[in-house]
Amino acid sequence: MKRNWSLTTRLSLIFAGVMMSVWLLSSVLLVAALGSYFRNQDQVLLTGKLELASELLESEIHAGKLNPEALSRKLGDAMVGHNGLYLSVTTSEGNILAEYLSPGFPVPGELFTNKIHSPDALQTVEEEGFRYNVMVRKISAEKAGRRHDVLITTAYDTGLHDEFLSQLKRWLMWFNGALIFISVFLGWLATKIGLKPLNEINRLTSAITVNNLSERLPSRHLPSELLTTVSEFNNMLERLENSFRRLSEFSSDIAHELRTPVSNLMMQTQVALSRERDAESYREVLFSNLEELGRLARMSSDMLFLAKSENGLMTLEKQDVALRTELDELIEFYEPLAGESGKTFLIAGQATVSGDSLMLRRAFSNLLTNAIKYSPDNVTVQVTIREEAGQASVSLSNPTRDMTQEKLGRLFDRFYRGDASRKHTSDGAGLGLSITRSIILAHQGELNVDQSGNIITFTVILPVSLDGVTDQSLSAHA
Amino acid sequence: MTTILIVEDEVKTGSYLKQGLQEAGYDVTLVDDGRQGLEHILQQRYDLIILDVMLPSMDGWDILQQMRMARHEEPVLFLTAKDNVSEKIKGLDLGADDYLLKPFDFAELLARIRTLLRRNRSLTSGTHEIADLVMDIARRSVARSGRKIHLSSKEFVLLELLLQRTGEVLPRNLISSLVWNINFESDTNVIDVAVRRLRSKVDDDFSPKLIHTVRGIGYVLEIREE
Repeated sequence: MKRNWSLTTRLSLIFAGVMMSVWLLSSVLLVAALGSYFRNQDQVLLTGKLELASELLESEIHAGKLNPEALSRKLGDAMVGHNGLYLSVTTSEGNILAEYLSPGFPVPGELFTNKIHSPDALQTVEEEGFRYNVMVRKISAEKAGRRHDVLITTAYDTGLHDEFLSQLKRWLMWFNGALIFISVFLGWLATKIGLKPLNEINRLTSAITVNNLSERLPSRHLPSELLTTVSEFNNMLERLENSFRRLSEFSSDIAHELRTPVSNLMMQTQVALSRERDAESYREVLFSNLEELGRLARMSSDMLFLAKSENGLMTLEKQDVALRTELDELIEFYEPLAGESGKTFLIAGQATVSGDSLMLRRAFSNLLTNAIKYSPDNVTVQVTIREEAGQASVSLSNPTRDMTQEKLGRLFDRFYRGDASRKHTSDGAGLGLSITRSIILAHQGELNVDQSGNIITFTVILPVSLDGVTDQSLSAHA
Repeated sequence: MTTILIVEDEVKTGSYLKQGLQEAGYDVTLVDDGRQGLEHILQQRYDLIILDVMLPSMDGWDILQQMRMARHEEPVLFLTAKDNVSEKIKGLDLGADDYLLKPFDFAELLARIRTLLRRNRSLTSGTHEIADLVMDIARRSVARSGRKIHLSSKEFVLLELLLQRTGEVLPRNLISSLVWNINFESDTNVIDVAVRRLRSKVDDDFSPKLIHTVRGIGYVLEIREE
């Protein structure tokens, strides 16, 4: 199960986790270090006592008066001042010659004797619930041809150290427990402070609606990690604003474009009905209405076409399309019309692409109509087809009238007409280029326009083969 | 008299269709319900059936399917407001003979109806003659009052179309589709220019005038009283 933890919670928990691990690790190290320090101390102490005892013993042996009682006393004198210390001298047979037991030593010394075999090494022995560090040493001395093997055993009660260590452990544990709460709180506090810019951005973001899409998030005083996010967000706002503006312009354009013919229709009809007329006048009104209605019908089907293509519902029936043949036929169709104003077409080149021939025809037809409409009289429209590097291009160049850079940028906008003063004739609602472009885009091509001098050139670039593009994939975008 | 059944639930569309087709000389029955439409089809022989797609109680596709299953092979023309290619294909696969997208030109509907009704009759005659105009299709020659007229190949096809459909008003869209294979909304001025050119060759120096403009609708070739 995945839960949506807040960043604050995550960071606080992570912070607490890190704090805990660091503290636990240091505690363990501290305890281990203290333990080994105490052990070393014990070893130094026990070694010292062993030295002392063996010297005493040797001198006693050399003096030839190995008197256990005197030895015990002497040893006692040497050991005095230490708590929890034990020392014994035993023969190799295990008989205790002398023994010292400091006050408070909890167990009898016999427990250690003869248990330890490796000399001069510190060993820990546990007896009856108490722990001792023990060291032994063997002494050999010759006296009057007799060998004397004795064993010195020292032991030190680690109880005090152990108690200290376990108390320390307990204390560290409590501290760690408290640290969980402290570090969670500190983590929460740090996160709150650290995420302040993010909350600020959230606050600003939530205030953005369609009414103030033009606002941008301020990027000054922002931590560098957030700069990318904020600038990406601002870019997204920019794109949204553009699309939104286009969309609302489009809707208001639709309303406007519909209003003109509808108001014409209403007015004409109302005027016609306002008094008695002869049949011829009624016929005139009907003809005129028919023209307006024709415009409305064309506009609605064009807009439907665009809406469908934008939703990826355009279905292409792919086949090989010889561009030269299609354009030749289109030019044959348009030549008489162009000839009326002395315009001619000149076509060169050939290419074959894979695409929907009816759609492509429609796309090129719009471009040819535009060339005829927006060029001065008696010019030649140059159509050039090329094919190179898996791409076919068709360019249409013709001289144009008063085309400015500003107009050039708006050419592909819907309902845009190059000549704003042009009377609304029965054809063309300014959707032609939009339709052309949507068809070219559905073919994974490009439609470009540029201008040098008074020559305007539209260039259509189409991939020669539509690999991987099936009718299904084109229609499945919805 | 040619009988046509219209199944259309939109009241205005239905009544105008009925009026228009009656005035064009057909015997028209109008039904506004799908099931009722199917009953009419199964009980009576019509020469042509016009079906709306969206209908109460039973849609156009179902009617078509049922009537074809009952071996009724009358030509069917679909009217639809849905510009959906897959639906078109579905209609034609099922055995629909033609379809028109709303809104459509009434003249175009008439032309399509005539085409469907004529389908079984042979039309390929070698020559067309009207008044003093003679067109010989095999020789690709046109003459008026015995004078040879030179036409471009498209002008020839255009004149041939007008002659085949003598007396029928042909809408511009139909002309551009049949002569130039332009099957989409295009600049209809082109047709005006082409017809004007044809007229200047065929009609200008002769009498009677044969090619006439029907304002707002299209062109017709016929002999009119002057």
